[in-house]
Amino acid sequence: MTSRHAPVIPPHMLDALARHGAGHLKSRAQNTLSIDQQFRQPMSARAKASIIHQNYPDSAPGAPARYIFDANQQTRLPGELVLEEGGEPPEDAQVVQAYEDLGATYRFFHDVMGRHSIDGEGMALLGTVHYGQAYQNAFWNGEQMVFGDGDGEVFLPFTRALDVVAHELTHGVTELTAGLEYRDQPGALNESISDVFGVMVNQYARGEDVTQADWLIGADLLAEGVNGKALRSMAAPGTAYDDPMLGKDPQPAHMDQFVNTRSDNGGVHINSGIPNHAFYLIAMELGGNSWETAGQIWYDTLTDERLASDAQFIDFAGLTMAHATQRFGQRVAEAVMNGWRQVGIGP
Amino acid sequence: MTRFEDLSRFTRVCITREGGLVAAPGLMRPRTFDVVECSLDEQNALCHWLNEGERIGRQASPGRGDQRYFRICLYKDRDGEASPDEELNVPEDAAPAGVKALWEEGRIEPL
Repeated sequence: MTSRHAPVIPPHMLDALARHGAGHLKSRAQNTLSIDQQFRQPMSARAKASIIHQNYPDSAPGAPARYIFDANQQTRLPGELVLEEGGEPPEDAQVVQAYEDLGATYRFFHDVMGRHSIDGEGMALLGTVHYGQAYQNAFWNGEQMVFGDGDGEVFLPFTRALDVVAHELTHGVTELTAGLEYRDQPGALNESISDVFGVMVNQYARGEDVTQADWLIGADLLAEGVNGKALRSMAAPGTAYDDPMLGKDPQPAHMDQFVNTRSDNGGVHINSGIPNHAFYLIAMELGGNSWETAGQIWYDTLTDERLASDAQFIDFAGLTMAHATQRFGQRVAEAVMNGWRQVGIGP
Repeated sequence: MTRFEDLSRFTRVCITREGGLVAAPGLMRPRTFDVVECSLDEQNALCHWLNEGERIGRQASPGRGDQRYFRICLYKDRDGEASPDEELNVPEDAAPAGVKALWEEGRIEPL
């Protein structure tokens, strides 16, 4: 029996028309695909992202293609285009911060990891600011990054923090590489990878080595009067805030305190504290700049085809040790193993 | 027959807003509705919004990439801390007005 919602024109034909059709056919196919998405099961991340990105061309290697939109306090995406690559910046701090932070994140991935944008092929970086009213969040929706202004009482505008902008862009990289499922341990790895690259982008931009860095996520986001120093602490998970409005930071630092919950997609922002702390311990043990050794190992692991979308902490740890050995040798591999052991993961 | 057709099987409906980059416990702000205290019209409206939420939640991937979502849990047990008997995740950005009203205003939007 055919579902009454089954499309008359198969999606692969619409996709072909959207990509290669002439004039009005191309435009109509793009619109239909966009609307059609709302009524079908989710498409693959790459296929979905490719639809909106038809309007925003990829960049040449070595340079980003940034497009910043203003949602004007509405929730319609992407919003009004207010700045594109090389354009004259408007007098809007959030627009300029988003543009600069996306550029800094692009440069990190390109110059340090050798990756040309989110998909490795120059995918345009789309960011929307002023999303919603007093919106206390930033996210990646499979196509672009979105930043709220915060409410001013607990949170300041989310573009203020480079590590947060980098965190969201890294969600795109993870989605188009390992595709880690957003639940339970693979979801916590997904979140941790965004935190790890978020802090590295910050440290790289500031020229900080592992001893100079604060190892905090979102240290610039909390408004005055909030009892906290950041959203998360990789050096001391569970200590970032303890505030009447926010509650207490619930992150564990060790598998002994792993939180079994169905809340937060199975604790993806909670148990990420464990791999976060492992990265911190390993980077501190290795010394120097986090992105030169530990960061390279994490990137090698993220882009390793053996990393399954349902990977558990132990699977990820095993691959980091393999890459540490392969790229840097036994001494570094032992430091990596010791770091994981200290958080209760590994032999 | 959907799993939310007959609310008389449940005593409580609890809604929280979860996920997001921050995902702090204080931002979840749970709201609880006592099914027994709801009028028949309110129960019908609640069924309607839960079914609408389920339709949306099935199509999207609630929570992915730091997107916030509403988590709705239904309990048969009145006071215990047991796991929910049914639960549903609805993406905040696509949530029906009636689901948003449950969390934002603590009220059941009439049909």
